[in-house]
Parts: sequence; structure tokens; C-alpha cells
Amino acid sequence: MQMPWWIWLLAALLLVGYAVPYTLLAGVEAWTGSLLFWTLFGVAVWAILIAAVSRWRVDGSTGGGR
Amino acid sequence: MSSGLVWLAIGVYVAIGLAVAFMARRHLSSGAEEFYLGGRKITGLVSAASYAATTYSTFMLLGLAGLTYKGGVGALGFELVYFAGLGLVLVFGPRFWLVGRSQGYVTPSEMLGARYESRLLGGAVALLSCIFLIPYSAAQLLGIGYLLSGITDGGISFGMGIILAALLGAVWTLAAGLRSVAWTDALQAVLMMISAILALGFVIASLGGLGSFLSQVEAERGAWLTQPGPGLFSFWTFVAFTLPWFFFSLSNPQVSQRLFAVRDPKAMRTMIVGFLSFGLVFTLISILWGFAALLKLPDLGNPDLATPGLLATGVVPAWLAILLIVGILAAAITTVDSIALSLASMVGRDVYRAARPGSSEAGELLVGKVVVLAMITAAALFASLELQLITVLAVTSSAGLMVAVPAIVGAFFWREATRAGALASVFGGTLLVAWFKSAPFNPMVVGRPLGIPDVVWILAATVILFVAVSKATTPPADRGRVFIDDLRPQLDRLKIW
Repeated sequence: MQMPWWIWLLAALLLVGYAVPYTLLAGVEAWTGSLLFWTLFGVAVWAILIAAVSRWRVDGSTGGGR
Repeated sequence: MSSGLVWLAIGVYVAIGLAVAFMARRHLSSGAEEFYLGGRKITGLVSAASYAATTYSTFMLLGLAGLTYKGGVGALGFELVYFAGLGLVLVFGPRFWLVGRSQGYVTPSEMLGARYESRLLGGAVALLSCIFLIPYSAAQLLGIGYLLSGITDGGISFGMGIILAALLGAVWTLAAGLRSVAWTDALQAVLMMISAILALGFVIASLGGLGSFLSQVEAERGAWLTQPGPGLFSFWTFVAFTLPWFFFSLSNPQVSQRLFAVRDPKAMRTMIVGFLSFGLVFTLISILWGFAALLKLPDLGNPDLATPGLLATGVVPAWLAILLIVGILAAAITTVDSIALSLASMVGRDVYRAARPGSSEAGELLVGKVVVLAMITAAALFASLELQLITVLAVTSSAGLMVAVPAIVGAFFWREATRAGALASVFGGTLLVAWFKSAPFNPMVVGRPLGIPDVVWILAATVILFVAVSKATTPPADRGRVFIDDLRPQLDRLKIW
């Protein structure tokens, strides 16, 4: 069972999300630093998860009912 | 602000909430599945609003805004790590739903107990959830105490605020179980979002618009825009805050239990899209709100007072301030009632009924209702201790709940996982949490061994115990077939990983 693309992407994004504000943006005292970076991070997470869930084939499905 | 006006607004809110709760009661049939899961028929939109309202509690506009006030932009990163953790719902949501439906599980602890063939495990997870979620619920009530007493200058006392929120939480829960909780949640989510957007708009306008607002933050509080910022968020503190929060959607039963309750997979998709969108917007609002408080009220002693302080400055018109107060009150209640309901189901089912196999469902429900009252009373008493900083309290509880995560993940992904492994990881993890949390009274505890925070050690220990003990013991005869192999064709059909 292979891991889907979106999990890899999310994991990579999380690593970047932890690393960049503490390294590249550590001294940037401007809203265009970590505030903008993490806002874009949030939008990217949102987009990845929406894209992943939109691939579900669930229209009209009731799944495995009892 | 006059306390009469605030009471009037609360009165209107309570009247509408009661009408919705009792409307929900008219749809209530009998049985635990009906009371705790709304008969597994909750629609996508109501699920989305309810999930959002349950997750996004007082913690946001009071706690997270206060955390921004104290620690700066790290608060945004912290909350967005939780947000990224919602990816877990995409993986585990459909699995919980499918197995819940096919096996009739009502609570996450019941599911774990069945997967590992251990009533002890189910009961232990249920009781641990009670212990760890009481401080979290108390934090909600505490927030309301601060808010109402702060905004009315003590006209509504701190204790009265706590009692009011506790009482409403109990009524919303007992009226019709999940149906009344979910319906009132949906109404309150809308109220929370609209009032917060409008209030932030007024505050930003008073600071000269978004561009000018951000420039002022840069000029006056530049350090708050960087990491580690003014000092709170050193890297390891950030990890300590975020790690339990990342697993919140899996470890906290009041949200993971919702995954059993949605009507069908399509409703689950609607729920996910809805709460993701709500969550992102509400997170950004709360952070900007905290920065605005920093500019308007530079010298607050207690950061949890940032929101009542900001509302008292008069930049937000009185009618909107009152709407926002009611919105925040709603945010607290939606979280407390969901927790109470979830704990009630777990204790009634996984402790009471598991200990007395012949007992009736009516008995289980009665015990559950007593638990609702007991748990809300305990949370109110805990809140009356007035411990500072809502966020810290909330994060402590998530650290405790994290001990069940390896067993939950293993249930669906590891055929070799055993009962002994799950028990060792949950009990071992709990002992370690107790050890670290005893630090104030126990000089032998090192808060951060090797400089690494306790939550990292706790998570590592639970994973190692789970894997090592499972490897050393014999897996169940069916090797988790119902949770792994039987789900695969159904997931494949739905194109879900």
C-alpha cells in the first residue's frame, strides 16, 4: 500500500514550516517574514487537503453500511 | 460595558439556543447510538459547523490571541501545525466511519478495546480521557469567567461567568445528546465567525487599515514578528506546544467520535472541506486580533485579558462587542458540551457497561447523564482555581491524550499490533506524563532531559513500548482483519487511501 502524494507533500511542508521561521526568517522583523510565510503555509495545507479529499469517489455512496 | 446589556444579550442567546436544543429533542429516538451519535445521520454541513465549533473553542479568540500577545507570530505557526494535523482526518476519518458502522462502535475507546480484545484498554482510555479533558474544559470556562468579568468590570463576577457557561453546556448536552449539541454548534459556529470577522474589521479600520496596522506592528513590535520572538517560542518550546496539537484530531475523543456520526462518506467530505475552510480563516482572525491587542493595549499583565481589554477600548461598537462576547461564550460552550457528551458515552459504555456485562442500555445512558453533570461540575471547580494562561492548560491535556495515538494508528495499519503492546504504551505513557507533570512537587523530575521537552519523550516512549511489546507478544488470531483487510476493498471503492 503506497503512501499517496499528498501525505509526502504535507510532510515536506511541515518540515519547511518548522525550519524556515527558525533559520532563514529568524531575524526578519517584518510582516513579510514569518507572518506571511506561515499564512502561505496555511493556505498551502488547505489547498493540499482539499485537493486530496476532492479525489474521493463518494457521490451517491453510502459506503459499507450495516 | 453595562452588565445589564450583556445579560440581555446572553438572555436572547440562551432563548434561541434552548429553542434549537429542544427542537433537536423532538427528533430524538431511544438508544445510545441515537443519543451519542445522532443515529449516525448527521449531515455534512451540520457536521462541518459542529466539528469547527467543537475544535475552535474559547482557546482561539482568548487563548490564541493571548498567546500572540505574549509570544508573537509563533502562535500562528503553532495553530497551523494543528491545522496540518487535520490531514489525519483524511486518513482515519473514513476508517473510523466504516469500522464504526460495520461493528456498531459508539466511542473511540470502545473501538480500541474491541480491536485489541481488551476491556481494560477501552476502560483505561475512557478514564484517562476524563482526567485529561477536565483541565481542557476548565480552560474554556476560565476563559468565559475572564471575559464576562473583564468586559463588565466585575459587574458579572468571574464565578458567575463560569457557572453560566457550565450550566448552558450541561443543558445543551442533556437536551438531546449529539443532535442538540450538533445543532446548537452549527448555529454558534455561524455566530462565532460573523462576529469575529466584523469585530476584526472594526479594529483594523481603527488602526488605519490592514497596511497601516501591519506597519505599526513592524515599527512597535518587530520582535513579535520573528522566531523565537519576544522569548516564549524557543525552538523546543515550539515543538513542545505543537507536537500534541498535531495529533489533536486523533487523540481527542470529542472530535474523533464525530467521525462515527456523519451520515455517509460524502457528508464526511463536506465536513472536512467545511471545517478546513472555517479553521484557516478563524486562525488568521485570532492571530491578527492578538496583534491588534498588542498595539492597543501594550501593558497588559495577563495576556488572557487581551480580548476583554480590546473590547473595553471602545474601538468595536457596543452592539458588535456584545455579539462577539456571545460568540466567544458560544465557542466555550460548544467545546465543553461536546467533551461532556463524549466522556459520558465513554464512561457509560466502556467503564460501566464493560464492568457489568448484563446491564441495560438505559442504565448506560443514565450513567452517561450523571457523568455529564459530574464532569462539568469538576471542570467548573477546576476553573475556579483561576490558574493563568488558558493555552498552557489546554496543551497539557493534549499531551496526556497523546498516549493513545500509537495504539490508534496501529489498529488500522499494523497487523502485528497486540493487546499487550497497546496496554504497555497507554499505561507506560500515562505514567511518564504523571512523572513529568509532578515536577512542581517532585525535585527528582528533570523538565527537559537533554534539553528536549517532555512531550517528545512521552511520544517516543509510547511508540517504542507499543512496537517492542507487540513484537515480543503474539498478535490476535485475526490479525486485525476487520480493521485492515476488510476495510481495503471499501476504501478502494471510495478512492480513499
